[in-house]
Amino acid sequence: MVTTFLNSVSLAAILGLVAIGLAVIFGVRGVINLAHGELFVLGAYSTVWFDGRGLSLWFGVVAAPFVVGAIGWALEVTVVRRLYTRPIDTLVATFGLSIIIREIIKLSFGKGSRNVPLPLSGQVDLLGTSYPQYRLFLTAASAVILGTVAWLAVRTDIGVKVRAVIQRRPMAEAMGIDGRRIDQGIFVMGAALAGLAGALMAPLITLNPEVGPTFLARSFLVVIIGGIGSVLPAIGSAIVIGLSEGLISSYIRPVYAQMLLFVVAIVVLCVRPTGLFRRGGEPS
Amino acid sequence: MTNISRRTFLAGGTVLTAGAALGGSALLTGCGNDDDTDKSAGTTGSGGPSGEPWKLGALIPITGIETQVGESMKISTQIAVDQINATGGILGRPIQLIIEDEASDPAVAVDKARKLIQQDEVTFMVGTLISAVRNAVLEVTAAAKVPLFNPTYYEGGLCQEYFASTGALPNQQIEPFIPWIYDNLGKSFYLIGSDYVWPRGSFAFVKSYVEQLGGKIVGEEYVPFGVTDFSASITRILDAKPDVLYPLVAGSDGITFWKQLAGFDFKGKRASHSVSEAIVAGLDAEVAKGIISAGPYFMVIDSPANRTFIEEYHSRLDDSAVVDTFGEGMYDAVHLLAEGAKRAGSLEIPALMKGIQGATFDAPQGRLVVDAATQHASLGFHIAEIKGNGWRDFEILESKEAIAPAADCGIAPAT
Repeated sequence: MVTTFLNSVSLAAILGLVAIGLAVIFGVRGVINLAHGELFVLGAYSTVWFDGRGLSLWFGVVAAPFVVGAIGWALEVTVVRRLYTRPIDTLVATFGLSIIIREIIKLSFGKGSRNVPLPLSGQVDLLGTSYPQYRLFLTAASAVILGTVAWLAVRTDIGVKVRAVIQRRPMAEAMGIDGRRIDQGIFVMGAALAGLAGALMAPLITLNPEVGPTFLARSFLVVIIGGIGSVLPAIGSAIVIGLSEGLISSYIRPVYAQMLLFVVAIVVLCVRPTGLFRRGGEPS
Repeated sequence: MTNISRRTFLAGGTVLTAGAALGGSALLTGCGNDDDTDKSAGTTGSGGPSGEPWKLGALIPITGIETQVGESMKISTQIAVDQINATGGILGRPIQLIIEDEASDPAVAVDKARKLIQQDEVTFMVGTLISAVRNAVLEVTAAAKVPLFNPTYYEGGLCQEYFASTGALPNQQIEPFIPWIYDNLGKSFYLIGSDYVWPRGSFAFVKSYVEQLGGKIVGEEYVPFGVTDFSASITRILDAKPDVLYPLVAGSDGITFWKQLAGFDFKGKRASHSVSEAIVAGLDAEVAKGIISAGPYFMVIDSPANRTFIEEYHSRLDDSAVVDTFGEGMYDAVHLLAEGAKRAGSLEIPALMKGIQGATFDAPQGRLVVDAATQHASLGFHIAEIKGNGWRDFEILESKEAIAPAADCGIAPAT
């Protein structure tokens, strides 16, 4: 019972961590970043790179957001920037970018699976059960990361400026906010978060150049259920999905658990078409 | 204002889900396969074979859930084709290899099989990996009367006119493995597999052998493809406290499973005939250590044929590259096809199948003989303990001489 609870909480934390990068970029700039999965994988491979040089996983975790953020910056400046007014085209462009990134990963790291050692391999005795240290660490790290993003969005000047740009761009720019810098900053931040998530998840997942779409799909589920607009719905939806998936899959067969999760998702979309955590009518 | 609607976002999701379902880059690979067509094959050296080449179609999971073995299957196939072409080809004509990515997706694989048969007009085919793909492709190849040579172990049951196999049947792999586990590791088993025909069919055999010995199955469950979190299943395994955990979680999902299991405090033994050099390469040495595997081929098998094969393989990639039972199976399948054609003196159907029946080849794993009745090869058998995550870290604990394929090709026992 306690283990089921811990499983569900860590699942929610992991889901939020994996999805937040996608939610940030979509929420602010309306770009559906189909390269999100590949940016996640790039973050995971940064731990492989450091591990291959005899350095600890933690170097990779620290470096991943910078490396992937820089790549995100390059993608924004060269491609995405030109397409903000053509949302459908960004779909095609980011899908193309995802393929390019995947092939570059294959060329640099090979096509096979790579391994990353588990940096914390023991268990912790917690609430009368022993639970993997790394999963607990991941849960805590994710809570801190999601909390920071939420704090930035809600409590800081940066958040206010970003929201101003989302709501009335021309007016915000007339007030002296540099909309261009906000766009760029948001894309870099979304990429950096994807990279950080990849680096943190690397010890727990298969790592090969093809795994990106799997994580993109899960992130989509989180963002769609939460409702589009900001990062808070995405965090709320990750919690709801993670907890329910954890509970469902511990009591019924995993195959049905997966199906039931999508049934729940469809019901939510029927009952609340704008998402679980979004007020108001159909967005424009 | 964001100038995008929820509808657009959902459209994006649909594109993505379709992409994911097709194994990621199947959308891409559908457009062309220049990279995967072997340009070297079919060219004639001095004294080499000449004339119109025989076309060999290879269906390989280059992308998707089995991507970690795609490269090994591809290179091994190319090595076999190059060797045959360097020694005169088949009946004086070279082989031209055409490789297609089946993406471990039955729908993609069927399209690719049709393309190979109708557009390229291949004479014969090798490949497929996961059983769902094999069964789907076989519908196409059997109807077109194109021989398909299968390189991998599977759940059995395919005694068919235009199907031949170098892969192990349950009686060549699971039947000798279970008594060893029962004697050396423990008597209660937990079975967890991906939810499709291979784990379900194979577990039917595992269960029947365990029960014959008087052992117990304390849990059996199946997980969907693409699971990224196994914590609920692992919790059930810990609660069931089996002596032996026997997973058949397919491909990269299997790697995720082993990695996540390692974080938990599982005290039992771990055994599975699906753990190969390519799987272990994706695991940390500490995680891989202690897993017991079994099958007809491991890279550490010490024989001249295997040393030559691995040397050639490494000369094309690098010295750490792994070729596992799937790659070796492709290599053997191509050579056995060529042997069959030489014996038959023809590539016509049904003469070619007659030639394959009884064909022999000195494979890296040992001497292979294709059984005339079942068109499955008799195979050796080894049990290996994994000591680390490199291909040299497999220690062979026990070996058996060639085991003949079951006369019925392994019809799953009723459960």
